[in-house]
Amino acid sequence: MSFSTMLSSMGVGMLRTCLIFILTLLISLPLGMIVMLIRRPGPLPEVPRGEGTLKTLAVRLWRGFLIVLRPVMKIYIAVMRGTPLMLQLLAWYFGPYYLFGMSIRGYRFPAIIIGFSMNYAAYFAEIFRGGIEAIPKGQYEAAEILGYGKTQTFFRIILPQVIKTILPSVTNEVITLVKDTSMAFTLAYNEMFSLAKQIAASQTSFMPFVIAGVFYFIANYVVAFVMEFIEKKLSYYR
Amino acid sequence: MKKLIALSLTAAMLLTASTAVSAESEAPYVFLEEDLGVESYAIGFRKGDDELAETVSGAVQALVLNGTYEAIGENYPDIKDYLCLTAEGIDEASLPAEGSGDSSFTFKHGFDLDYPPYSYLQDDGSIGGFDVELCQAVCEYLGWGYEAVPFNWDAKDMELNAGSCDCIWSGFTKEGREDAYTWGITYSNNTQGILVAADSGIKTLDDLSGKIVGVQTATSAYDMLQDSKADLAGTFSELKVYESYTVAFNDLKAGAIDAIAIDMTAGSFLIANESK
Amino acid sequence: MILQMDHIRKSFDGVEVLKDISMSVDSGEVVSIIGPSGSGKSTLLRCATFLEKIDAGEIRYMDKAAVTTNNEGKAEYVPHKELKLVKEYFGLVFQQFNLFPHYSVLKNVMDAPVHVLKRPKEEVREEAMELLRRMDLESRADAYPFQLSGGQQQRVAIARALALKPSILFFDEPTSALDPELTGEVLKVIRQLAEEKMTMVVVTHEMPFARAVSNRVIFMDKGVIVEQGDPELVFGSPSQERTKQFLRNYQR
Repeated sequence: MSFSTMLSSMGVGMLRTCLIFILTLLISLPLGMIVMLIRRPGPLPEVPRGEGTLKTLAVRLWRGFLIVLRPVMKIYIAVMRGTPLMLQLLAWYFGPYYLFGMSIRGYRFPAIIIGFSMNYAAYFAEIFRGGIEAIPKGQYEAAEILGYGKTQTFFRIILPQVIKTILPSVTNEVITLVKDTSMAFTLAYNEMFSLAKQIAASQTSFMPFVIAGVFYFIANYVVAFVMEFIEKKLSYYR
Repeated sequence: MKKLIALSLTAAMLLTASTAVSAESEAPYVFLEEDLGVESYAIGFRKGDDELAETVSGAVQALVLNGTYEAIGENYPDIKDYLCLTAEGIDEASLPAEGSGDSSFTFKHGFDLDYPPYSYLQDDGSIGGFDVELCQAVCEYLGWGYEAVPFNWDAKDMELNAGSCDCIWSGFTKEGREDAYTWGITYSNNTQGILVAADSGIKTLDDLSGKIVGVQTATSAYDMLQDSKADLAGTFSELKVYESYTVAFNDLKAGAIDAIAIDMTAGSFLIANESK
Repeated sequence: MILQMDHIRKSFDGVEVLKDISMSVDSGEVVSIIGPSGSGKSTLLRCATFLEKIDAGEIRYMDKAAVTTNNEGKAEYVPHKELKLVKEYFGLVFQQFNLFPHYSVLKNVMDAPVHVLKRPKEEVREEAMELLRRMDLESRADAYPFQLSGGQQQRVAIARALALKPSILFFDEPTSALDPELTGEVLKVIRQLAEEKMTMVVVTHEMPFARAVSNRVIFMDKGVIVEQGDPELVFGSPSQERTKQFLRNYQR
């Protein structure tokens, strides 16, 4: 097999690897934010007195939601971080069949994306929480005195500072994700690294692994480059 | 309390995953009558290690003569029928004598720990399998030390070339790899077949047209479907490549795929374990 | 009467830090609150600005009730919407400045008027530049907080508070986090505001400043107001033994 054939047959796998990577990031980052907002410690929202009933109802609902979901989120994070990703992938994929006897035909790729996203969302949620907790109380107090509402405080004052603090940890996590994509092969999804292994075995050649290594390196270099760019953009203040 | 819930959830997940390995199912599984081809299992040595290959092969033959070979086979009913060596035609005089090996030498046996019944982790947690027992018997016969080197099957060539093992010996197919190794004796034959659910309605290789077929990466079945049986593979709607047959078999049970291309002995082992 | 606080009580974990405190501030008055640390003076300020919730008592701004006491003797805050309006009457300058590090000096001053009060940007910008001119910080409008000295940061914080045009401005130990040589520039600004008849309540350890600038001094200890009155009287001939002791310690 010539080098170019090797490269082109691995190319499909590279696209699949990128697909897992991108979909996982697109889902797990916002999901992690939601998990963090629910799980974040702190007082429950107070039900306002004498307000329009609709708002009172919404706050009541959110309050009940938090009471129920906070412990659930804690357990979710503990399980996601405490068990191997490979096991989680198997559980997400075979779970519906073994637990409910459901057909899992065509569910392979969704299971992989769900597995990766749920796992990474847990890690991101903890990173976000760390970032939020690193913001001094004085920032909230200053915002309150100046009349900012809760939502405004979060999006105008807190979030921009959080993003700057957590960027290095997020970069680490994203780089790990690039490499973790090879775990999709647990569910027989032929991403780049599994193809490399298959070609290496049939050709008794080390070259596919070299190509795989270069691919991961370049992918992570791009990630690092993008993150560094964002970090630089945010380095105008300390 | 929360820790308890977390623990039980983890346990539930582990259970799901472990049922994925051992759960029972009503549907029995059968091989199609048509097979994909016969192959021979031999011992692979580093290219140029002719002397070592000859000594080990001689010792295997000696074990055939003294009945050990057959006795080990009795422990593995799934492969008993595929053992191809007989005393006929073996010239005893040309074989190494018992205890003639260098007692300071340790023979490093490289194998895949996930390839039953040739080499696998047994119910009691010890390393075993037909190939492991035979290799141990060879070392005992020659007076060598024995060292088990379980490796990742994908990395077998690197392990061998790097010298971390002296041979690849775990249901290792010779066909298609003739020039890549110095080959020792062929001690077993095997047939590559197609495993399906008995009630699937698939009876012949032609019935596989438009079906999803699973195969483990870096196996002879995989190589065959890539190479000599590529035309057949072309009729499948998809050839799904797995990291291990265990996951593939679960997919078959769950109905996510229609058939598995696998050698008869490994396949029989899966079926036998399933009905346990 | 700009601020009226009556019978304020506040406990933290069962320890009462404000014991039935009443005080009021008139328009144009500059009130200094002094006292040893742990006397409750900062807590009083935080209660007045609703950063802490009082347990009992009443708070009124410009004769509008913000907190009342119900039949069970518990403090009851007015609904959120009304409280929000009351909050516009006052501003607070923190000991630690609490500027927003990701905003430039100008944006720190402009952001609340533009995004909270929804005032037109151009108008706010002119006012903000005028405020920075008064703080002698016009040239640093585009700088970020980390590029400024502590004294400069505190002056930006004062400008930020003034941009919302409060009727009364609170200072919580505004110079305690500053190097000694930088306190002067901040005190000068407060003095200037006093001359312009800005109503202010200053919690401070700067005794000479309190004596020179305020119309009234309140001495607090262990959660109660021990003595209050004209600065010359409180500093010159305090009537209470506790006050004398405190001031003696300070002069040493």
